[in-house]
Amino acid sequence: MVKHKNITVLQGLSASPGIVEGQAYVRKVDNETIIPRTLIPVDRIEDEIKRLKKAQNMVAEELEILREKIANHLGPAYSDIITAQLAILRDDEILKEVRAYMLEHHVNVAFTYRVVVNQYVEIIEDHTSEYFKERVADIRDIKQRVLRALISKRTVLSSLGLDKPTIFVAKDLNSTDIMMLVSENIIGFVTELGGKTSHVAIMARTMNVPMLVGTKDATHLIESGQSLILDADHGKLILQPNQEMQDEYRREINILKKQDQAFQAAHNQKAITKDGYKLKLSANISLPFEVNDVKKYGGESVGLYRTEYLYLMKQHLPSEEELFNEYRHVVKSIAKQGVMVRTIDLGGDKMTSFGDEDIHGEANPIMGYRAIRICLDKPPIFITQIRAILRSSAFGKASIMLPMITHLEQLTESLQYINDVKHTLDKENIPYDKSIKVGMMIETPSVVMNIESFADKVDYFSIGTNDLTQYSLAVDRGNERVTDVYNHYDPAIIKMIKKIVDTGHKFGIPVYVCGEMASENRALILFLAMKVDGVSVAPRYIGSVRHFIKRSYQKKAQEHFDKITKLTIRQDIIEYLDKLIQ
Amino acid sequence: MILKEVTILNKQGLHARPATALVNTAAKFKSEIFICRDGKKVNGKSILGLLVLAAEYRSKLLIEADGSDEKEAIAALEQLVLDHFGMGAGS
Repeated sequence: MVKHKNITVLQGLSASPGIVEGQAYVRKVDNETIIPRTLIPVDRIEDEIKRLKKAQNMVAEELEILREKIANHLGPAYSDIITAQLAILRDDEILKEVRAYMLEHHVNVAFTYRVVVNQYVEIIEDHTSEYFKERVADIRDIKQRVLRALISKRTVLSSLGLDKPTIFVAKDLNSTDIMMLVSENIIGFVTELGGKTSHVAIMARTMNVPMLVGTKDATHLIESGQSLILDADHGKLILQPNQEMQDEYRREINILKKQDQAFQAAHNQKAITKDGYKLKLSANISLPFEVNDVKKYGGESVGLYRTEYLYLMKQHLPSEEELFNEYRHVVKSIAKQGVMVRTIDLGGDKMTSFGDEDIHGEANPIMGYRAIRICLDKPPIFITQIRAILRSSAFGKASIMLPMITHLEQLTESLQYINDVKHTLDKENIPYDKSIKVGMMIETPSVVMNIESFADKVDYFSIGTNDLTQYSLAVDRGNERVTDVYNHYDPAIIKMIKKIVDTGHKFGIPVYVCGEMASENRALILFLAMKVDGVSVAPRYIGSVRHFIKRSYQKKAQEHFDKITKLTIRQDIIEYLDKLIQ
Repeated sequence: MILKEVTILNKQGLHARPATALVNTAAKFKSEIFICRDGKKVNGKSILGLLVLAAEYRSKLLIEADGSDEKEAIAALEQLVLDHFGMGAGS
C-alpha cells in the first residue's frame, strides 16, 4: 500500500475489523482547555455566576440527550452513569464555593470553576479505594463540558464537540469511554495499549466500530484534525494519505459496502450446502441492540448471548428486574428462533471487584475465579440471573447455557440450582417456559476427555473454540509473544471437536460451535465434514458464512476429512484446507 | 438540631449511585443537612462532598439535620441507609 515514503503508516493489532476514513481526535494525557485568569470588578460577580448557571443548564440538556441516546442504543440500564454525572453537575455546593472564591479573589468565573472542581478531584484522587478514584473521570468530564459551554457559549452535543466523522486516538480506553463515544461522531478507535481480546475490543466489535490496538506512539505521532485512514482489516493506520491512497481506499470501502448489501439481501436464505446439508446459522451478541443486526443479516437464532456487559457497566450488581428487562427485550425480539443465554462468564481478567470481593490482581485470572466458579461460590448471584432468564423465557424461546464447566459436580450443582429456582417460580405463580433447554459450553480438555458423562445431562453442547484452544495448548491468547502457539487448526483441537460432535450425536443432542473459528472458511469445511449442527458467529460474519456454505458440498468435505486427520503438522492442515477453499 | 449515627450497609460503599440517592432525599427537606465521618463534615446535599468522604462498607456516618423539618429529614435518611439506598440487600 505504501507508495510514497513521506506518508507514515502505523502498524497495530486489529481488535475490531473494518476500514474507515476520518479526522483524528487525539486524547493527549493532559489536554485541558486553557483558561486565562482575569480580574473582574465585584459588581460583575453575580453576572458571571449567572453565566455559569446558564452553562450548567446547557450541559444538563446535553447530558439528557446523551442519556436518551445511550438508553436507546444500549438499554436504559446502561445510562446510570449519566445520572451520576448530572448529580455532580447540579451540585449546589460548587456554586457556593465559586461565589465565595470570586468574592475573595475577584477573578473570572471559568477560572474559579476550574479551581473549585480541581480541589475535589485532588481529594478524591487521593482515596485509597479504586472505585472512588474511577469517579474522578466523571467529575473531569463534567468540568470539561461546563468550561467548554462557558467559553464557546454554544451547545455542543458531545463532550468533544465533534462535527465530522472522527477516529479517536488515545493511550488506552475503558468501557465507559467506549459507551460515551459510540453515541458521538466516532467511527473508529486507535489505542497504544490493549490486547485483541480485552472487553473494550469486544465491545468495539459488537458495535461494528473498527479498532486498532497496540499502535505504538500513536498519541505522539498523530495530531488532532489530521486526516486518517484506519484499515483495521490489515492492522494499518495511514496518516495524511495522499489523493491516490484515498481513492484506492474509497474503492475498497465501496466494494465492502456492496458485499455487505449483498449479504443483507440474502438474509432470509438458509445456510444449505449444494448437496442439501443444513447448518443452523446463529449470531453471537453481547448487547440488546444487536438483535437489529441479527435480523439484518438473517441469523436463525442467537447462539450465544453474552450477559457480562450489564455487570461490567453498572457500578453495582444488577438487580433481577434489570436483568429480566434486558433479557425479555432480547428474547421477545428473537421470539421464534430462540436465544441461548450464557450465564455470566466474568473473571479477574475483565473486572476488579465482584460484590464485596476484590478480585483484582489475580496471578492467573484466566484460570482463576471466574464464570461458573463465581456463580457456585456465590449462589445468590447465580440464582438472581437464573430467575431473570427463566422469567424471560415466558416471552419467547430462551435456553440457559453454562460456561467454563471443568468437572461433573459443577454441572450437577448448577442443574440443581436451576431446578430449585423453577420450583420457587412455580410456588410464586410466575410464568416461565417449563420445557426450557439447558446446554453447556465445552471449553476445557477435562470435559472433552469425559464427554460421555455430560452428554446425557444437558440438551445441547456448544463448543467455545477460543477457550478450548487456549486451555488445551496452555497458551494465553492475549500474550503477543506466544501468538504462534495459539492455533485452532492444531490436530489435537480438531480431534477434540470431532469427539465432542460424535458423542453429542450418539446421545441425540445437537452440537454447535460458537467460537471465532466458526467465521473462517477453513474451519467451516471441518465443521461440515464432522456434521456440526450449527455455528454461531458475530452478526457481521453471518453473510460470509452463509455464502460459503451455499457453495460447498458436505460429502466432499467429509471425503477430505479422512486425509486431514492423517496430517500431524498444523501448517500442513492449514495449507490443505486453503487449497480446498480456492 | 438532631444527630444520628448510621452504618453503610452497601458492600461497595457510598459510591456515586447511593450518594445520588442520598443527595436527592436530602434535597427534599428545608433543613440543613451535614454528613460527618472521621472529623470531615460535608453538605449532605452535595454529591461531591459525599464522594470526598469515601465512605466504604461498614463505615459509620453521623447525620446532622438542622431546621424546621429536621425530624422528618433524619427519619427519611436513616431509612434510606437501612434500605441499602434502594439498591437491594446484595449490593
